[in-house]
Amino acid sequence: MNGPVSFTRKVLDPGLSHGRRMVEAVRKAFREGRRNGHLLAAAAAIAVWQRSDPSGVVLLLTAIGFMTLFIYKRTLAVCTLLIFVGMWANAALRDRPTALTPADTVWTGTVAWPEIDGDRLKTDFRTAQNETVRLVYTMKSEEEKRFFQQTLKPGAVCLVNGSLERPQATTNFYAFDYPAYLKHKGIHWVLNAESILRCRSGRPGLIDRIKRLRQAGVSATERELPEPLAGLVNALVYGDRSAMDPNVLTAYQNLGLVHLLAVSGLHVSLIAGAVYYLLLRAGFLKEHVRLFMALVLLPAYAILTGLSPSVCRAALMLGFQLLAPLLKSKPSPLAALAFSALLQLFLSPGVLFDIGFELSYLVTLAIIVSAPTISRRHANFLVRTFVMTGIAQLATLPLIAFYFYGFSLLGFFLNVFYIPFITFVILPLSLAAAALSPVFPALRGPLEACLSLMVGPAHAFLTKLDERSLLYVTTGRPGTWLMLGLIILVLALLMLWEKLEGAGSLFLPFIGAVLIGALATVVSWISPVGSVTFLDVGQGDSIFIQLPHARGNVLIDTGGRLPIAQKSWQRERDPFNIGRDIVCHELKAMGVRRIDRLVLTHRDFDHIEGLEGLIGCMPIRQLIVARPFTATKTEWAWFQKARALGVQLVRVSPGVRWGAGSETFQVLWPYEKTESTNGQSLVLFARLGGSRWLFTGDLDREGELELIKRHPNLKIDMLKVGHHGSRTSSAPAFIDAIAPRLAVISVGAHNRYGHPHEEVLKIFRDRRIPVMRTDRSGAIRIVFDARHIVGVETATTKK
Amino acid sequence: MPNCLWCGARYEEAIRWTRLLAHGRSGFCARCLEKLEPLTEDLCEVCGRDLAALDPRYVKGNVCGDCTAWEADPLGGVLKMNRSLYVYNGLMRDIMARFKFKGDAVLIEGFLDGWRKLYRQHFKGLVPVPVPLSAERLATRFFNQSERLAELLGVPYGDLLRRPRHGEKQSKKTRRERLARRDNPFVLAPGAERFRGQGFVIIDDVYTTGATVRFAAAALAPLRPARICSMTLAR
Repeated sequence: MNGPVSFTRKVLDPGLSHGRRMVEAVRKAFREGRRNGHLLAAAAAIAVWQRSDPSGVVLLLTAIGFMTLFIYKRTLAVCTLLIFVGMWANAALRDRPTALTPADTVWTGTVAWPEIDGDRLKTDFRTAQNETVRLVYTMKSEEEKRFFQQTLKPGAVCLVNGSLERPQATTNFYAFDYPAYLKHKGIHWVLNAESILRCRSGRPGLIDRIKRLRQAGVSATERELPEPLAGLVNALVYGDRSAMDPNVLTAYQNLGLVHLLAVSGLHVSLIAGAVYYLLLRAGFLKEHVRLFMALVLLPAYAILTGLSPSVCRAALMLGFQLLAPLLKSKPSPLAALAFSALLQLFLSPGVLFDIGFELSYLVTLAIIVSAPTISRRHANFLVRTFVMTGIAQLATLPLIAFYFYGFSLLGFFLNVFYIPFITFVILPLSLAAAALSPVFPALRGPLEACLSLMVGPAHAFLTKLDERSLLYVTTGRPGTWLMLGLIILVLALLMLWEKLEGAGSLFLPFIGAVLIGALATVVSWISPVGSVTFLDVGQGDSIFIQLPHARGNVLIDTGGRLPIAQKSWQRERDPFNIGRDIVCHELKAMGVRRIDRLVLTHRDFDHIEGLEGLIGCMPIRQLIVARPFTATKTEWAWFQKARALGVQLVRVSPGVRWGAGSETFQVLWPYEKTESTNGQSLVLFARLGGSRWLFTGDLDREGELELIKRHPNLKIDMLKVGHHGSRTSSAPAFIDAIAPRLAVISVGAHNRYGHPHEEVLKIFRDRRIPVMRTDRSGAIRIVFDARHIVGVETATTKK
Repeated sequence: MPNCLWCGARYEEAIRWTRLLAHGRSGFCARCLEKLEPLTEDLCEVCGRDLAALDPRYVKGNVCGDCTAWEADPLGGVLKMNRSLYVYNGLMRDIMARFKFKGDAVLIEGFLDGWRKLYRQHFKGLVPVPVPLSAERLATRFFNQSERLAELLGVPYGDLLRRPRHGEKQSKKTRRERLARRDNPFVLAPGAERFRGQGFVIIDDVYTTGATVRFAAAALAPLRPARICSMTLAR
């Protein structure tokens, strides 16, 4: 030390050999990876996301994050980069283009998991070319349905006659992206089966055997337990929600309780804990029990419950923690969570886009990070549950807003009761009912009675609450920047919660949610733009007008389908309804909390059948019909239901107007009853964004000519073309008189009436009036501010 | 799951929302960490001691009485500022004792993150200079605690000082003895000229009266340094 000045860098001991240093470096990398596994998992997730949907902003943010990390923690930064590149390459490798050609019509393949609902049979189908397609088949008779229900098992090999089609792209702004959903599962085609020629049971492997056990269990429950109970038991025991009452399921979803129906951490640890205890009691060695559980029991259980991402997460985490002591290490829960995510993402990168995956990991992360603070602060079990669920809900709020367009503030309080109730009371009873009743049939009766007694009122209460939509906050789907802001806000709130001591911290998650709800309302108030959206409801009309500064929402018609006579075996459990599944869904995604005026132009099904689903899905203040409107029995029933929910029924005559300032509406038609229902369509004139709009419903030529006779000075900028472009509407004289600058036709693709008619198109072409059609471009949205039209977008160009 | 470097208990490295992105490493379990008092706010501008714990009579503005007294001393001006990580309290005293006198050289690795952060915050770019031991002391102790601390920073450091005389241990002297003006025990190492004009931060384990680091600073003065500061684990 007394020698000359040493100016050294001693990070690793220079006395070590080269090889030894390498080992040390790798060891250090492992230590870092274990400690900060969540960062590695995040890097993996971003890599998969980037691979599927490259975005410059995300890449830039990632690069900045990586550089920061590189400055402070070099080893960790290198690990993250390696994972990022590795995962990206892995996702790219697994993302194979299709090898199938649609020219073939006969297909052999293996059934993965048949779902039978009404007369529809659907399953993933692995073809002989080793590529999975989505098989869809409409069964022809009740006998055929019963045959498939009894004989079609997972792993069965079938010969199918049918044609391949590309999955149908979405045609509304916020519709579920079915092609993308299938693509993330590695599926490129939908196989429309005309007939299923024959099926053999095949030689099932181990996995298929367990799946068959699951299938047998599910149908046994449905056979033996009464309808409402069977759905819940199957959801809890087998992770199969298909038999759940759709209303109850929606209630669970809206009230923030749906996590209870997903088989996940609580279930897995409850069941694994019981088995562990029993096996130890039976005298097995601890090490053997751990090995057996991690390598045999948990994987089998995961398959038995449907291999959902949340079950896989729970099983993998528990597996790691069971095996670790045998390897003389004990991973922290955070490390177990991170490794399970890495493994799932590695095996099937597409799982990243599964809502269940995202929610499951986010909630678990929130719980792991908050648990030490909670257990330090609170001793009471109920208080802990309250704070824990509050944190979990706050953490997932941006995601919930993105996927479900709103959340219930009641969830914060309901969870305190429903979590212990479902997990510690209903789940064990359900398990007992499923497992014991085949062995001891005598037990079934009492178990069933016991379950019904508790589940009935619990579910009735939830559906009642959901109907009232009490304390429900509609946020709409946040745009990119709002989403980013929400995430930052939530993170800030979580950090604040950690700093805050005392009673303030108890209610902070709840207050945070209220704040975000208020923020959503304020955002809608300050929005200076409104829009007119021609929803794509197929062959039919549904036009939604949202005024700027939240000054009101008007919906003209609900779309609808001609009801088809169906026998009871054909009916699906939760049949599709345009009013609920398209109109209400799109409106909620736009952040609409209430329809102020619902105008029904006339009583054709393609204009009003959606009302049935819309009522109860979205609050409505006024339902407006023309004075001559006569309702049939069916419609009258809907109106009664609407009135029971507080909807005001209003009949209007020409001359009625509403609105103020730059946005006004005026009823122009009908004056009297006519022979055809189309002729008495309610015609609405509106001034919006400095333009004049005319919505004519299905008004016929006769009516159009009469209309311009009564209003000779009527000039229009934007015309909703009458009757989906049929030649019974759009009289040339009428078009000449009102001289529109843009015509919009709301019409279904490949409709059976041949709308829009070539003659009508020619009328517009000759006058050089541009035409937009919902069958070509999907939903159309025209955005306006106080004075101008500021933009036009369509659902197909937006994507 | 690591063991606490101090008490040996296995412990979970507590993760928190505030540390999610910078999940640091601490070598000590939460129970031991609780007993340490970090020096983060309301500090003396010069020596970095906790002013809140001091009788207000001895505080002038944002400077403690000791530092005001140092200003009058010829040695006083050479040191710009000192910053320390923790208060030299009961547990810190025990930790230092085990580290220095019982030779537990790994113990201080538990401070790694905080120690590096302190350096980045206040002394970035300055060359760390450990306070040297005399050859005799080094022979009995086998390592220089200050050099260990300099190494821990993970940046190149300069071993620029030598201590030719073997004096009484500082920790065995009274305050009066330490402050008694004697000759500077430190001299520049041969070859230190290379560092002329650079800024230095003197590294030591504990700052008690400030005499040691000021002597070291004075010894570096011939190099006409841009700035001399000091950082210590405890104050």
